[in-house]
Amino acid sequence: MMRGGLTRAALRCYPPATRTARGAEMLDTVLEASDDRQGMFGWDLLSLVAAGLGERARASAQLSAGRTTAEAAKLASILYACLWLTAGLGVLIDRRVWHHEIAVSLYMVGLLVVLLAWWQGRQRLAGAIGLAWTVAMALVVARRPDLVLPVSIAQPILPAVGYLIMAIAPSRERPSRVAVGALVALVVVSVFVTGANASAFGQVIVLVTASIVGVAVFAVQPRLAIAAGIIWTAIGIGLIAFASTQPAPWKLLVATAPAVLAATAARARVIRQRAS
Amino acid sequence: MELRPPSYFALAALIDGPLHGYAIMRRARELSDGRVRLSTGTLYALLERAIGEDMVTAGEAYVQGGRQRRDYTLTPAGRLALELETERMESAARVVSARLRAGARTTRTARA
Repeated sequence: MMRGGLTRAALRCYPPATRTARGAEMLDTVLEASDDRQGMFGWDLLSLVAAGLGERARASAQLSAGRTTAEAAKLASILYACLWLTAGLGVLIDRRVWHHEIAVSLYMVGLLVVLLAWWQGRQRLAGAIGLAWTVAMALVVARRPDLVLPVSIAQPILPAVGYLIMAIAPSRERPSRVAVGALVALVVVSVFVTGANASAFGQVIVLVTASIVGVAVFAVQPRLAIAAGIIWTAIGIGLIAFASTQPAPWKLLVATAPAVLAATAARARVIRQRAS
Repeated sequence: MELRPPSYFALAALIDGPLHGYAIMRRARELSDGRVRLSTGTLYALLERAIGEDMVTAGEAYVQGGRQRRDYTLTPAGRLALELETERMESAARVVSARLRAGARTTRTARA
């Protein structure tokens, strides 16, 4: 029973299509082998994990650079929405303005609708609302003299491109439940760990964690690393727009997305060469 | 195209007829005198590749003894790949063993 569960867990490393086509057969092969070959079960599990991740890496390397970038841009816009959601939750907890601040409530509802639509595979809807939300935010920011206007206007440009791609070229692919659960947990934990009045720190936790995970899974699936790179680049663009007070090294953040895209292209070349 | 030992013995396991996954693993181990011990992940990766290169075909899934199975069959292209690899290894072995014999004669002559 335990061996079956462990094998099923290892089989999750394979792409869903392979699991559907051969998962049951592979599971029974592992169990039959483990009945006959004592001590080989762990080795079999490791081989399933390695082969499954390898298959995922090859599948992701087969996508064109344009498709990979477009999908990563979509994910970047979702990550961007999560960052704003983290900030919004922090503000709501801090000020307890759930019933009084209509603007904050609308801002939160807009983000939640974007994220729910994305989760349900309704990318066109998520993209359209995301774009509307971005424009509305820009208009609100333009009327607030206390906010740093160039930064606030410049930063959403790249995430807005992701929303635009969602709206005009949606895919029916739904995000995995594991990915959605991890993202929700990350936002909630960031908000409650950092506490009230520290929403910016919560955003940093979300972005840094996403970046670390993106780098960790880069060899298998580069999408999250590119998405995080796009956000860092967006921050860099904001810093350049606000050039007078920020030290120059921070402006180098603008090079993050191009660097990750170059690494992705090199990775795809290596995987294709190995496969041929 | 060169076949590595796991692919070579997995394909060789199918010479006598179709086999299911675990039977291929056992047969490959027997044919290689225990030197090639295929893990399940490796087996299915190389079967997938062999199917993609038309060296093997996969049959329909069936249940036998409560276990889900599928038989794999060597195609003429797979048999040809095996023959070419066997010839390549025989040829390489002939060259090396001729050189070894010549080297041994030279050493004996030099000692004498």
